[in-house]
Amino acid sequence: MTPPRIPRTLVRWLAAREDRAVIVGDLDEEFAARARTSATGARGWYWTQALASIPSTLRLRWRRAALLAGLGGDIRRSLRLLRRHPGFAAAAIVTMALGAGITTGVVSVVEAVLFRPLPYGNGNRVYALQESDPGRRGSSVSWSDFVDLSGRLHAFSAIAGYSGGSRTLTGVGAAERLPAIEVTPAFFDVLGVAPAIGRSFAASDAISGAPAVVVLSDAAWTRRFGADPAAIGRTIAVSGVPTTIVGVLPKGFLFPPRADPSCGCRCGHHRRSRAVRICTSWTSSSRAAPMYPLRLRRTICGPPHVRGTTAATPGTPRRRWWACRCATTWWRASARRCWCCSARRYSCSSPRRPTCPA
Amino acid sequence: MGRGEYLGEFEQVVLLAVARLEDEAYGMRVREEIERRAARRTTIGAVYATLERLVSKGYVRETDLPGGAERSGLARRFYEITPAGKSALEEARDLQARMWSGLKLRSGGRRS
Repeated sequence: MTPPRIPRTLVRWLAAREDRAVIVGDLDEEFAARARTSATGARGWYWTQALASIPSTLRLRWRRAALLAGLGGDIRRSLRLLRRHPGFAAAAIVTMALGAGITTGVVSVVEAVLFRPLPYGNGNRVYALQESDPGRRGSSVSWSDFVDLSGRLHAFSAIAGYSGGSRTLTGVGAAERLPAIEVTPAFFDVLGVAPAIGRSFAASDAISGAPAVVVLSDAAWTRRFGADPAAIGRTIAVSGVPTTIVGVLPKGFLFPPRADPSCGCRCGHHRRSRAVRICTSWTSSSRAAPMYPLRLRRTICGPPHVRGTTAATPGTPRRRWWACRCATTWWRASARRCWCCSARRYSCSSPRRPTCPA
Repeated sequence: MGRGEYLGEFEQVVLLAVARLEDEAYGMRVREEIERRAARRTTIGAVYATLERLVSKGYVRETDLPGGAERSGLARRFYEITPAGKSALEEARDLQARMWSGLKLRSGGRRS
């Protein structure tokens, strides 16, 4: 007859490794002797012994654990020393707390700034292209520069411009001032985002004379239209301009990340005097991103009028272009704060300037 | 006997059982001996925990030997009292004798 499995396993599990075979062997031997008289009584005896032995078995295991016993002694000694020198103890504790806090803070910032991609489909491949002009502040470029760059930036799969602001929404309920951005048609292709309902912007939407269209955020669609799919195709007035709703963005989409969720994106015709910011998405995987400046140097030469200005007039501020890989946290405040993974800048007036097409 | 190396009551009982069993002193036999002579129910875990303390104090030494078929080949741990253990037992006995010497316990509770 075999001993009851559960208490036997319990004893084996609780006992220290060096005592396991000895204790279980004693119990098995006594069980076999008792089972010859009464099997039921033997099983009951085994259960009683196993359960009643739990506290003492655990104490024995604790004593056997030399490491833990040593650790306990160390802790007691440390407490005695700390009680004896409270000033030193306070200084040590504060130092360790500061060290841990600073380390945690640095790691959090580095992770957010350098490693966490933007929350878009192309989040790890989105770059902000900026122009540096010593005589001017801000990271936006003129519309004409954007048009010129769009035709020359072959290193990128898509390029888009956007400008922020707010628009007055009328035509549905009470008039309301909403955060909104005006974008070029490829904006969602750059980010790798597709509307949840309806369609994105098409190139035809930006042709002069085309009807104005808008893509709403999920929050605006839910709040102003009750999440009614029939809102697609409806015409509303955006700052007095009749505009057709063509799509609704996925829930949770924010641009910039963590921005006010009630914004809409409008595809429109930028006035030539209007400055835009540029975001681009890289053509290859993020692993190739560090090679970006080299290709950029070959492909960006600047619009002819820029080159002409800087080359012809000595002393004119040079224009420089560079791309910033954007991380989640810093995109929000300003493109200028983006982390520049390619710190090398290209100067159109550099003597090493490549030969640019006419 | 140094400071902190006194014999507890149960330790004394277990050490006496080991001394009585001589070559047959292993865990379950020690437990049975205590139950038989002292009419005191105890568990195998408590016996082994006490024996480990006695080993660490140097009052007994342990030897593991392979077990027979009746215990599926699991090892059996034999204990043997050491000279220090014998001295501790004698000292505990003498201490008790000195404390009992000439003492007559009054029956009837506290003095009024």
